[in-house]
Amino acid sequence: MDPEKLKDQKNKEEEEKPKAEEEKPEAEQKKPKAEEEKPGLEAEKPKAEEQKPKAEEQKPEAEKEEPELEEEKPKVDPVEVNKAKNVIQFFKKTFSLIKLYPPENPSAQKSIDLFYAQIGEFLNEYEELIITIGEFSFSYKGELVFQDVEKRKSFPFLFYRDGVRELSFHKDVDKEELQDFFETIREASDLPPEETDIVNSIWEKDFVHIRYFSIDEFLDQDIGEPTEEMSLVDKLGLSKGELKLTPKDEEIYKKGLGLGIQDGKEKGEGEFEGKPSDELTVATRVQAIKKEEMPEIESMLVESRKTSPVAELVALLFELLFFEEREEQFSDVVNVLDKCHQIVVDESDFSSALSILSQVQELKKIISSKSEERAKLLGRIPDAAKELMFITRLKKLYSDGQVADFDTFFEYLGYLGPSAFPVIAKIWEESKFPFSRAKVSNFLKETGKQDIDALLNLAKGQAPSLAREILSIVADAGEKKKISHLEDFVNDPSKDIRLEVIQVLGKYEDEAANKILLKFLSDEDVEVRARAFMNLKYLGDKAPFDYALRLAQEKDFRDRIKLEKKAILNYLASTESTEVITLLRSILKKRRFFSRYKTTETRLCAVSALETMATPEAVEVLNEGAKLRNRTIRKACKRALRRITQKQKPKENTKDEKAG
Amino acid sequence: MEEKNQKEKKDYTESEKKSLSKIIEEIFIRFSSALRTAQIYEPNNLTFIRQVNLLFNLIQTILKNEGKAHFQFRANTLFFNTVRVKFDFLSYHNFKFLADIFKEREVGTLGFEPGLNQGELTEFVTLFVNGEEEQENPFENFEAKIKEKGISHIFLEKVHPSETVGGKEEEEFMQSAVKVFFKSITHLKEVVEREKQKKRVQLKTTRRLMQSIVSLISQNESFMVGLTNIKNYDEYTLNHSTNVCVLAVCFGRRLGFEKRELVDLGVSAFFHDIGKLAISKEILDKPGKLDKNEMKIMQTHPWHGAQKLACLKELSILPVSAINVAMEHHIWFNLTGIGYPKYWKKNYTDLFSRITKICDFFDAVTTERPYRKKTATREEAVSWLLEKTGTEFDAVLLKVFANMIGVYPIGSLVVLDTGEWGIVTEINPDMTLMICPKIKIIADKKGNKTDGNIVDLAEKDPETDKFKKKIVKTLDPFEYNINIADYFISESA
Repeated sequence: MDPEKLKDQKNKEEEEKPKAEEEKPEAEQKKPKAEEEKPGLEAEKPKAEEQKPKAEEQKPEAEKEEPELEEEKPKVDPVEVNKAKNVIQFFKKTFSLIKLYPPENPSAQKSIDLFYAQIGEFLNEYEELIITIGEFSFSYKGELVFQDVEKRKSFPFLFYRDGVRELSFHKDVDKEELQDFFETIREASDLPPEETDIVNSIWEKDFVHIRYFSIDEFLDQDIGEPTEEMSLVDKLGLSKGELKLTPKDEEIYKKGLGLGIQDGKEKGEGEFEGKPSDELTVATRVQAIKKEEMPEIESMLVESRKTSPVAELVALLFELLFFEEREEQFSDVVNVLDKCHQIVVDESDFSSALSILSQVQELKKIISSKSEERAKLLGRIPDAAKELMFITRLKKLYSDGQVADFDTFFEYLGYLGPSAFPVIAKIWEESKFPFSRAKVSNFLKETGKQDIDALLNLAKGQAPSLAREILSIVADAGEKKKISHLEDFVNDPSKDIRLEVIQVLGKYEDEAANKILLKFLSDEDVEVRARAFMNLKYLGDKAPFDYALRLAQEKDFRDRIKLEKKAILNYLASTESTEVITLLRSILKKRRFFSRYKTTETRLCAVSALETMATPEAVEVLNEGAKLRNRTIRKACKRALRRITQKQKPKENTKDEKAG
Repeated sequence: MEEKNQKEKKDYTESEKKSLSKIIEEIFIRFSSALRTAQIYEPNNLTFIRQVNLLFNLIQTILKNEGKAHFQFRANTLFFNTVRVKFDFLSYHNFKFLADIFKEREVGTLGFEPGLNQGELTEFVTLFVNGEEEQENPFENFEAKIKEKGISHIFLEKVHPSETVGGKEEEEFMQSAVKVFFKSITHLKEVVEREKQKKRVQLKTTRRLMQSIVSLISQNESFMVGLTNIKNYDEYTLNHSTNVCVLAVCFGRRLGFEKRELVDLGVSAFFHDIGKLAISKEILDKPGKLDKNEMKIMQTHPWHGAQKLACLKELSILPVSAINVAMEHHIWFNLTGIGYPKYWKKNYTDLFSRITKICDFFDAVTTERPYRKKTATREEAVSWLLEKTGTEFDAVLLKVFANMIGVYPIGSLVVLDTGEWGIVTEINPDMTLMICPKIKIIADKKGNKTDGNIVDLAEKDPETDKFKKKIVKTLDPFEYNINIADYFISESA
């Protein structure tokens, strides 16, 4: 382009400044100046365009400052302007509703219906509705019809910021088109300005009855001028001089000429016969695409369209990490991958999230042999996923019902290990189906092995059912080293949990377990105390024995509930101590006139303890009891003796068989 | 008009749309076939009568079922009953043919009305395709002829003023095209600079630039392809990337990509070599072979480029395919050979990468480089590409590309049987006439340079039924010191 011409053009633009912006259209939406120059076209040009207050578009205040511009404005039909105003106001109202509600919402739908009816009526009468867009205003035929000066929310500014200066709706616009249009501008308004371009979005949609006009400020302002003079082509020079074929080309040319190039084309087959070899190669090898090849191309496109961009990006990022040896860049890519991981999790796409974590693990193994540092950087992704904030997000996703594929979700949580316990607790708490609880239980069993402490910590302050589950898992795991952690539950507010802990402790024949159980013996709840005694194992340790003996010898022992009394006496019986025999004998034979029921209950507990002991001394005491006057005690002793005999018989038989 | 306005509006359901698109496909073929036949035969010719008859019957069916049969031409897009007429590379020549006639006549809407008779349709088809090229008021003149012939059941609306391209507007288009082309190069340079300085790169501007490129290509693909003859303007990689971008968008358009996909493809191709911009000029421009170490550095550019793109702050508006393309444009289609890098896990390359790879090769080998012994002519480049079909390049895509670029690609320097010299300016969209492109005559039969006309080699002598002019030989513009790009740029001056 001639620079002088450009300069002239610029000067001209300066003179016609209010119009300048409109004379820099993008290629497609170009508004030809010819409109004004060609008399034949004038009729086609909407009057509104001629009357457009261009100053107002760029600077609304200008209108106020220049009253003479106002005077120059041709008169417009106030009824028409009023009708346009109503439609435009409804346009904004509909958009507000669409921003507020999802597209399928009845209110949003109704609003589109109404707008469709309103604009349809207007277009039937006036053919088109051309809205001039100012920074914060909409105008129709030069009249201001809508204003919204709050930049952040301004509807006109949404269009203006990306360069739209005119928006027009044309007759026959259909509802679907309007719906699509609203959806397009809604999407654009939801994103930060640097991430969206309303012009690009509308353009991509190819609306038939909705048009726009935008200025090309992006090309003119955002991109600098070329560094070299780009189009200094001497056009005249191109037609000066002479061209002469080289001898080699001359020879081929003459040969080709003699053979009648292209004549073969009309002969069908062998159409390129006789062509010079180099051209023959291309011409014969370029084959026209056949209809049969269409499906292959179509499937190629379909395949490409259905690939998820995130999955594609993730696959690429792993390849990049595989190649990248520069630590800084490696770290940057890890950050992007971490973002992707978070995106897929937020979208509840746990299959992709799982794939990311598993590949991270795989790649980490490969990389660690080359660079510890890079392996460590890669580890940031699973580490971030284990952080409390992330775990809280997972909990929320579950609570909000966003998790569709349970198996994958659990598999994913498995990668997070014990850090995922709070999520697991949430699932347990909210699950209504046994299968989900079974899944939780399996998860805890598997993952708990990695960190029993974390598992036990989870039990604290959780629903008793979950704590029970955890404690039973701990018990099954038989981790003796972890017994001391159970002491934390001695004062757990939940009785159920305390009972469960006792149960777990009972499974260990261990002094440490006894030590904790001993603490439960002074629990305020009688059942807890009783269960503690029941699970206490006599390992020759004096303290629990003395404590139990002292309790049993107390005056008010008989006033305790049966379960407790039985538990204490049974524990004592398990020691097989002579002191206990003496105690049990004295209880068995004790008679009271008052509180007869409690006394009998205590005596029966002693019978039970003696039966548990089943030593010859115990049998002797039971035999004595079988002769007592109290019928209940007598019968109980006899029954106990019978059971002891029955139990001993099979043992004897077995001995005989072995001897035989 | 009034009658048309009173017609009931129709909102189509998805299934209706599907069946409508079949009808559209059919009427699209029928209409262009009838017009093509009318170009060759007289109205009393049986073949022509048969074609018009088929079109007439189809219009009747559509009018009966749909209530209207309207073609609309807007933003270089054809619509039928408000549904966009999609085309692929098989139907591209039909699309172009129809679009050109609509443009030439400045027809925006063409509607067939109930009551249409076969006689009216025959008259209309003949007039529509055979009328003289009007320099001024083509629409008004054509409309007057229609009225004169008493055709009352076909209505016409003039194209929206913003759509007209012709005369002065065509010149404006060319200026705009050249401006966008050079702005693209500058923009890429700025992007690279900003990326180096860790500043936000203006991807929004890149997308808008691509929008312009797509629009320009829709308006005049040949001219845009012609501009890809501009070589080594500023830095090689910047110019090359812009060329590849233009070629890729043309390619995508032939494949039937949607506008958004075309923008994504354009952005991807535009940034495909961004990794190269970090490699020292000593290596990039080293004459002769690179040593092992230099080669190793050179081969890092795909993932360095991909890494740069993946770590952009504006990743949300960058198509993922751009990272793919940066990474994969040197990987062979069959994942073997000397392509690089060798993937860890991925066992395929992206469609956009395969497209860009072809365009990249085509532009690279046709550009003079210090390390390249021979710079290929454009037709040689096609030949070289075809040698690697199915191995380095996707065979099907390559076929589409070769069909698009032609036997004599735009920008080829040729000598005709008349002794005239010319530059190919437009490929014949009809694949059966690939060897008959349009040529800008640049030298007369004596070899005197001239600012000649554009001639269509598909034109036949009506008496002999033979082509008036034929290409005899393609020439290497380097040998004759001819800068092909100048001829295209000068068109806009």
